[in-house]
Amino acid sequence: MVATKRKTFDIFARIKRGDPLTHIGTVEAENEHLAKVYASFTYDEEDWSEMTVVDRSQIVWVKKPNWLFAQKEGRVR
Amino acid sequence: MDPSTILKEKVQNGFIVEGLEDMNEEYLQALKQTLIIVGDTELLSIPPLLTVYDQAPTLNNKITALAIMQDEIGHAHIAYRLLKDLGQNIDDLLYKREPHRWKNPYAFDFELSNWIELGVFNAFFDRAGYTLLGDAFEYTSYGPWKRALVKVDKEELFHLRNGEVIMRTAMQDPELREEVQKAVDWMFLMALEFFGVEDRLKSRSAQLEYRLKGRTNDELRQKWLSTAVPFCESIGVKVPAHYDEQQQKYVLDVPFPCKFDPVNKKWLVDQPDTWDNVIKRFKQRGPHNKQFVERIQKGAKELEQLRKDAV
Repeated sequence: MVATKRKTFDIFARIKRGDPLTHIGTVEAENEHLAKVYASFTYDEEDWSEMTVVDRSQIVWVKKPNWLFAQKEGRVR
Repeated sequence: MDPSTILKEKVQNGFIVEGLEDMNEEYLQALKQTLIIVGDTELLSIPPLLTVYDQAPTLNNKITALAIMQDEIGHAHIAYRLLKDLGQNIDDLLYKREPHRWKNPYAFDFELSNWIELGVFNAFFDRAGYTLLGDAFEYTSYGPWKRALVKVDKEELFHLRNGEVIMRTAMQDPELREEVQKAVDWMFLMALEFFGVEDRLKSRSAQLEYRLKGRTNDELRQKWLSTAVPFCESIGVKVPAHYDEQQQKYVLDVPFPCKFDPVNKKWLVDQPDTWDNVIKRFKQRGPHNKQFVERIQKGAKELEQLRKDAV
């Protein structure tokens, strides 16, 4: 269906000044403008002081958890 | 040790699962099944609420009802987004699934009869959601879900308080008092069915073994009763349950489960039933299952058709 061109955006927000910037959820959107709209409508449980949307494909990982079942052939079945 | 034993032991000791590489297949399937039930329940709570929202007595009541529905869509969105990150095709799940394959509670396959029923819906069914998801928030071993539930927990509490306000206010009006009692008479046992089969009839639960949730069905049912019964007693509504000092728990004054007449929305308390039959009734679905699911799917299907026509 229509979702084929959508990208995943991770949302980070801070409730008030001085609070940590926290990962609060995700949205899928065709572009960053729509991602901003979806994020602000979906995650309206707080009057956030700051909110950002980040295209997940642009996140550069420095470290990931030590996966419990990390194996060369993939996930344990 | 096999992966299942390793993972079960670790999660029982507080290990938090963060991604697919922390899971075995059994964990993944149990998690997906759980999130589908949660997403479907949140989303399919909206069609019954919509049947009476335009009967809201004040503009403020109507705005609150719409805000609650928006919250529920948000909660469904969270569950489906988590499922997508687990590899599930969400478009298929939402727009191509047959109505009878949706996993929402039987109680949501009914139209509401009036505004008071919307209040009892919030006070009882959202309380069931708050009880079930509050337990997951407290105990679940799946990190992404635990974090997502911060928002859900906060909002479900607001929904059930809204229901309590509607019920309490209505009890002060002699005519509406009867409507509250009538709504409670069918919705009370319906809410208790949310928690599923009795513990003594379950051989094992992957949800508990993998710590997707912390409390058993019967423990969760008791938790619901421990707040719902005192609330109803405090406003003068009769419920078929009371606290038994000797057993130190809430007990029901009617057979549970018992047979239900879906046409008249009435429990046949003189006809006890088995959980096997209850599951059969769930699978047969309630009277508006098809209509409600089609309503959810309608816009997407029409848009798809327009796109095809344009090409």
